[in-house]
Amino acid sequence: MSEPTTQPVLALEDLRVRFKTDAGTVHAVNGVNFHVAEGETLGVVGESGCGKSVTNMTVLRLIPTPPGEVTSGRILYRGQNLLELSNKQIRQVRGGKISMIFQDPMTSLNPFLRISKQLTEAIELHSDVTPEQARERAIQELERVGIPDAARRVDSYPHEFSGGMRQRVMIAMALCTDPDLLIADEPTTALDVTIQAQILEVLRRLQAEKGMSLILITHDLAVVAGMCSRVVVMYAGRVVEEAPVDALFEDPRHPYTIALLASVPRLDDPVGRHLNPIEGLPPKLAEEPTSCAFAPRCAYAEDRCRSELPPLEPDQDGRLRACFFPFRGGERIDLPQAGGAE
Amino acid sequence: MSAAQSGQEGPVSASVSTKAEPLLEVRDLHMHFPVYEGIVFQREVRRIRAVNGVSFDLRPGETLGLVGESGCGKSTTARATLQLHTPTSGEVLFQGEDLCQLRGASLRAVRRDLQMIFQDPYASLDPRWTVASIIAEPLKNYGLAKSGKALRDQIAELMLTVGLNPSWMGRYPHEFSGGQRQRIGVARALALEPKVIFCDEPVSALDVSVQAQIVNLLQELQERLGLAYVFIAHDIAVVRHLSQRVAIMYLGRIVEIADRDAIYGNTRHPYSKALLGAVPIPDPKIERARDKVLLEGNLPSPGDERQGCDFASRCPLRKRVDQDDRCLNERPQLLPLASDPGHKVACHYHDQD
Repeated sequence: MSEPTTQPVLALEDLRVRFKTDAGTVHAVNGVNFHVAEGETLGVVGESGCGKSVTNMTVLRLIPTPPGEVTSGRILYRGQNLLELSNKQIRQVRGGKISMIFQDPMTSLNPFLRISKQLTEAIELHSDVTPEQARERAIQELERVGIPDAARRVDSYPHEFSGGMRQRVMIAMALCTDPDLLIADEPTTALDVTIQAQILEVLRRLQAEKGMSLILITHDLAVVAGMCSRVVVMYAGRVVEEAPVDALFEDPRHPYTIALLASVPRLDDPVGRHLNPIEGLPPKLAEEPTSCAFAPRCAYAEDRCRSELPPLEPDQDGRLRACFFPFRGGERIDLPQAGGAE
Repeated sequence: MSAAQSGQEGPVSASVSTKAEPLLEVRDLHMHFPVYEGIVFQREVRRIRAVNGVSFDLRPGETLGLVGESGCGKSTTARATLQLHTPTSGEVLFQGEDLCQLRGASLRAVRRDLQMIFQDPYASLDPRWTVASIIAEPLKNYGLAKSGKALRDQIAELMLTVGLNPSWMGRYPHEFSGGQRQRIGVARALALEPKVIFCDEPVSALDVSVQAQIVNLLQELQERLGLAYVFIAHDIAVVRHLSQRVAIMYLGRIVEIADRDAIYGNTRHPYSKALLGAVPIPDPKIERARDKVLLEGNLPSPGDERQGCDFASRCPLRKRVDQDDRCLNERPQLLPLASDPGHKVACHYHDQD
């Protein structure tokens, strides 16, 4: 999808989040910028610890404070900074206009309450309805996510559902308030591939029906390829590349994106392809990075990468990447040093 | 770094292994878990048939991939084969001996050759033990540990083999990353110089960039040490990458088993087709163009005994071709294809598309 012509639904500006613990400070998010346009599906990709979940949980202020702390930045939902809302105001947004679903549907549902109770609670909180109407609505939503015999199953407990069905319940719960943004954090990671395909289909269909925006957080590049129109790649709490989905897979610019794509075995690989792992480990983030965080693992790093922090900037053709020596069309391009930087 | 780069390709060992005698033969393995009810007078009310008649061969130096959805019995098959569960019935022949008949010391002696690597490197290492004691434990168990410096040399060599720095010998598991911990698990499995290693989802808990490190390590070790692997994973692309042969399981049974190229190139069982078809590919163009065949419903309960095919209730092929309800009344046997005897399928209508 192209650049938004209107105001984005959500825009993050220079978001920084850190956690102060007894074991030291962790700088989880270090200046993240991205936006989501109306009706768009944005993929946020990265490995564990890259800050993708923390970033998105901060949007709904779900980070426990302390130890968590937003040290700078703005989170603009339709122009309104969510970080400035009172607790009461954010509760209106959370689960109302912006909903979230998580990886593990069993731990996100209350095992002691019937599905009907958990669904109607959300509906009654966010709209002015009678209990009967709320129940009616709950059944409708369950039918919509493809739960057979919803009128009867609405009174079941979570343990009576399979993993895939629980995730459907979570989706129904997230969508029962007609949000215009859904944040899905690894929604299919705990599921088998056949069930994953079903859940992704449900998400795709409902997004089209409701015209909502979707942020899909995942480590699985294949899921991104099938679902998203634009992708943000994160590493060590920063965005290292952002691109439309086709461009990202055809012509990745950042060495980390390239390395990530090369390390995944694909079902359509030529037999016997050698996998190229990324040697080393992601940084611990005890301090905010002052140079490129990927440099220690990057096969192409140069002195400048180890001393300066590359900003997320557009290439000549407008592609965003945070790298001094990015690739283009599979070739590395050496950028002219910006006026002998410092 | 690996043999693939130095020019020794995998297919050489694969073609040798097809002719070799099987190292491990599993015949009609059953692993049922009874469910009891009642407090004073307990009676068996049901049986969970986790493994329900599984047979396969493993040849020296080969990798057999075992794939299927969670609950299909792939891990239980591995455990029952290694006698970590006592199988309900069946035979596990290793070097002419039936493991199911062995007990005590004789079983221990055989186990030396059969090791296992587990999924969760966090849970399978004792947090209070140093790396050195974790790796030395199997050696001590079998009385193979030397003493003092010689033992440390033994451990150091194992650590080097799996790409760990031997100077970390005195560290504890929590000081290592997930990938490094999995390497410790591999070193422990290698300590007794086994012939077969059962890898139960060894890379599922790891990040993709680290996953590739472990996959490459397993491949290198196989080429160097001639190990045979039974590689269990739900990630079908990883299994394809590593295996010479692949078995697809559904509800405690193998529904299709064949050489890697046959199983991915000439998939016959409708369940295998649905499973492989559900795997997304990291390429937006392919994903958009793809005809998505969604499998309806969930796994049926392994507690119910069916007459016919276990997959019949979800099978898209049956709806089209099975006019006389054969699939519901007659269980399809795992039979070789006429065109390729190494390719076995359990489906009445495997020749129809």
